[in-house]
Order: sequence, then structure tokens, then C-alpha cells
Amino acid sequence: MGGRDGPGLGPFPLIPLAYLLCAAVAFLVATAGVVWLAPEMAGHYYHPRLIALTHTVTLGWITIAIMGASYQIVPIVLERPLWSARLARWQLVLLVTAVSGMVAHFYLGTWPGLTAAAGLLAVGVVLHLLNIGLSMRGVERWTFTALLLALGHGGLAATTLFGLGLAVYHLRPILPADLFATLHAHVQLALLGWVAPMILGVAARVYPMFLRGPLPGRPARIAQVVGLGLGVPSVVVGLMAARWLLPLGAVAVSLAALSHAGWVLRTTRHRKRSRLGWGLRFALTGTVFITLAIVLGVALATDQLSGPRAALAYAVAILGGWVSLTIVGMMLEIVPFLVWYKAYASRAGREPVPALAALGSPRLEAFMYACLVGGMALLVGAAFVGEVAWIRTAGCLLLAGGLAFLAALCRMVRHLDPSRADIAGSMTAVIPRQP
Amino acid sequence: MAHESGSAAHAGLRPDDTIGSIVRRHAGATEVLEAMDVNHCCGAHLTVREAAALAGVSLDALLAALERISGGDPVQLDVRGLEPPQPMVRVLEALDRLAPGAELEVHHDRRPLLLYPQLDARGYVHETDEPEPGLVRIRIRRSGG
Repeated sequence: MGGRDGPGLGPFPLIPLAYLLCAAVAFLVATAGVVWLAPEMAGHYYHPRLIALTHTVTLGWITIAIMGASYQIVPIVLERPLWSARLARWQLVLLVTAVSGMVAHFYLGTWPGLTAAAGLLAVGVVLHLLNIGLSMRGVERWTFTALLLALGHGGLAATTLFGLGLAVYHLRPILPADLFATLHAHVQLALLGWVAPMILGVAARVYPMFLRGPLPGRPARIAQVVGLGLGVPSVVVGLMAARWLLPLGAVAVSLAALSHAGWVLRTTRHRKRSRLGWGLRFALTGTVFITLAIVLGVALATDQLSGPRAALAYAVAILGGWVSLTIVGMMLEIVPFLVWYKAYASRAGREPVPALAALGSPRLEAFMYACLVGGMALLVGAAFVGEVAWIRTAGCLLLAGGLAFLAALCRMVRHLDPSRADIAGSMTAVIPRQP
Repeated sequence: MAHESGSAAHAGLRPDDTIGSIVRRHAGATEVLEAMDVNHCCGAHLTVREAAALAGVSLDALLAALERISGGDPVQLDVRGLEPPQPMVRVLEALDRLAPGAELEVHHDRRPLLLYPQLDARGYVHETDEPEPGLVRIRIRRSGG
């Protein structure tokens, strides 16, 4: 009895919270970047300032958010204690410094500084892989989520290796393939090898918990693991060496993504939770963008579409539409819970505590939803046609949504110090005791 | 065994529980109270302590008699299907009202890893097993109880 039931959560939940909040700041910076860099977005994507914006999104926002989520998922879902909380803290400092350095040097076009920042980032990634790898050592059950987490971290390692090669290329041209082939492989590794498995793995646990719906069935689990496991290497090799593999890889990855989308639809239809909060609406809307990303991705892989406009629209659909809306939605569900746990769990059962819903701001979240979903949809279309005015309009919508997102998170985080949080009204919404 | 589904009610008895609530929760309580001349009808609003004093019986004897009919089995609390953090709140509320020596058996759909530190901090011991797929059973009692 006693302690042997628990893995020892350490400083949970402050570490995941710190990562998620840093990521949200990067998201806001990225939305401002869309407004600022609208003319560049109407041109070719291989532009230093656009690459700065892309890395603000992929590293500052998405990667840091996913790493923070990993530090929650590993102890809670995989039931393995975090190997080193201290390492996780230092890693965040390192990552924020490295990403800021990379974005600044990309923006300025200074390559020696970029290479140094990329090296620092690689150190941060290695520390993360070490921490997660040693934490997952001894996992008793290789569940669907555990498998996808392992797959995703393998993808992160490969993405970082390719990224480091591209950074060094600016100083010494030592790439195994053509620059654009390597660049495209790096992008696809990041999207499909790192981000996609992590989102699919986390969604398989988080959506059923909050929707109170069914877990993915065996066929869906197999389709996702096999589709990504075979599809991602095929896409990468197809881009770099054997072009004929590219459509096959694209189809395999699309089957995995469609299988995920189909399960999300099923679990939503069979949910026991009657009313959907804004967080879940965001995540479910994000899933809709998968279809658009698949259409664009397969069209690009089979040469039905080509050129920078279609490529940029594909990147916006997948990074902004699917990944960003999904992460925003998950954060609106997870952050209040982390804050509630830190602020109120020790009081629960002994005195009235606010309900989880009291930490949210439904009006703000509804405003966010309108701005971010509208902005992402508009940006996909505007990027496709390359119209500066529409890109800037979409950017303004996204910036408004980003500001509302940060404001909503700040309202939640204020509860960490209940004396400062405005909980006087919310205390009436005590979690009711059943008669 | 007392069965509660998603609720914080429990079978453990305390001197401050009202007679009415005990009669409602436990079949057989009426007979015990009548045998000890404790008024369970007009005195339903009284606490066990007050009712014992009014009837001129020992509080310990009355509690012991009521404990016997409530049984020594653990109280069951089913929190499966509840949205976080309600399972944790329900369990902690139930424990707050658990009688000394009583045991709470929680039925959950996953291992509640965030609950364990709260139980440890409050001086409860706990044991978890999975008797069947989809059912995680946690037995909780006060340390030393």
C-alpha cells in the first residue's frame, strides 16, 4: 500500500505549464509575424524571413508545446516517473534561447550565428530525448500512445539531424542531396515524423478522457502506427533519392491521418459528454483541416500541384489548421486542469473549491475560436493565391485570436495564487456533491 | 457492502451524522434505534451524539450497534466515466467523511496517478489492482486504521 501505487510526479504540474506558456507566447509572436511578413508570404517560401516565421511556429510554438505535453503524458499516461525534473527546467531555458537565436539569425540572414543557435537547439533536443528516453525505460505496456511517442521522438531526432545539416550547409556545402530535396525532407520529417505521431498519440488518450468517448479500435491503431511507420521513411527517401516512393509514402501517411480523423468523428458521435467546451471544438475543427492537408499533400506528391503557392498553402493547412488549432484546443482543456490541480487539489474534499469550468472564459474562447478558425481558413486560401491584402487580413484575425488566447491562459494561471484570482464569483460553482 | 455510484456518500458512521441520514442509508438502522429507544422519527434531525444523550444510552454503544448493521465492508465509489478532475474530487470528499477504520473502494477507468500524492499527503494508504479490463480498483484507508 501507499507510495508504490504512484510513480512520483515530482514538480508536476509546473514543468508542463512553463513549457505550454512559453509556447503560447511564441504563437502570439508568430501571428504578429504573419501580419508583418504578409508581402514575403506572397512570394517564395525559401526566404530567410519566412523561414524565421516558420521556425517560430514549428519550434517556438509546436515543438515546445509538445515537449511540455510529453512531460505530462509520460508520468500520467505511461506511468513512468520523470527521469530528471532539473534537466527539463534547464532544457526549457536552452530551447527558448536557441529558438530565439535561430529566429533572429534567420530574420537577419546571419549564417554563423544561425549555425551556433542550431547547435544549441540540437543540444536541447538531445537533452529532451535523453530525459524522455530514460523516463520511458521500463515501460511495462507498449500501448498505442507509448508506441507513437517513441515513433515521434525518433522523428524529432531525424528532423534535428537534417536541420543541423541544413544550418551547416550555409557555411560548408555538405549535404547528401540537393538543397531543396533536403529542405523538403526536413519539413516532412518535422510534420509527419515528429508532430503527427505525437498529436495522434496524445489525442488517443486526451479526447476520450474529455469527450468520455471510445478509445481508438484495433484497426485504427494499426492503420495509424503502420501508416506513419512506413509512410514517413518512404516520403523522405522519395524526396531525396527515389521519387517513385513519394506517392506511396503520401498514401500511407494519408491513410494514417484519415484513420485518425475517422476515429475522432466516431468518438465525438458516441461521446457521453453532451456539451462541448471551446477547447474540444478547437481540437475537432483542427481535425477537419486534416482533409484539406491530405488533398494538398497528395496532390503535391503526385505532381497534380506544384510550386511555392501550393506548398505554402499545404504548410499553412497542416501547421496552422490542423496542428495549431488542435494544440490550442488541447491547451484549453489541459492548462485549466494543471492549474486547478496545483491550486486546489490539496483543498478538494476539505472545503469548497472552484469547478474546472470556473477557470475558463467562454466568451474569450468563443472570440478566439472565431478569429483563429476564420484566420487559418482565410490564410490557407490567401497563401494559395498569394494575395498580400488577404494574407494580412488573415494575419490580423490570427493576431486578435492569439492575444485572446494569451489573455485566456493568463486568467487561468492567476488561479495559481488564489488571493489574486477573481474566484469570488466562481466559488459559487463548487463541484456539486451528489445527493 | 455499501454501493455508491459517482457519489461522495459513505457508510462510515460519525457522532455528528444525523439519525435521519443514517436511517435513509442503512436498512436495519430503524430496528437498531428502536431496540435502543432512540427516536428515529421525531428525532431524525438530531445527531447521533444528541440522540444518544436524549435516549440516555452510551454514544459508543449506539455507534457500535449502528456500525454492525452498516457492516465492515469497504464503501464502494464508482467514478468511471467522470470527467477530470471530478473523480479526484469525489474520492477526496468521500474520504473526508469516511469513518475511522473504514475503507473506501474506488472503481476507476484508469490508475489515478494524480490522486496518489493527495492520498499520501493526507495520511491514507492505498492499493491498486485491475481485476478486469477497464476496471481499476483502488482500496483506500487511513494510515494505521
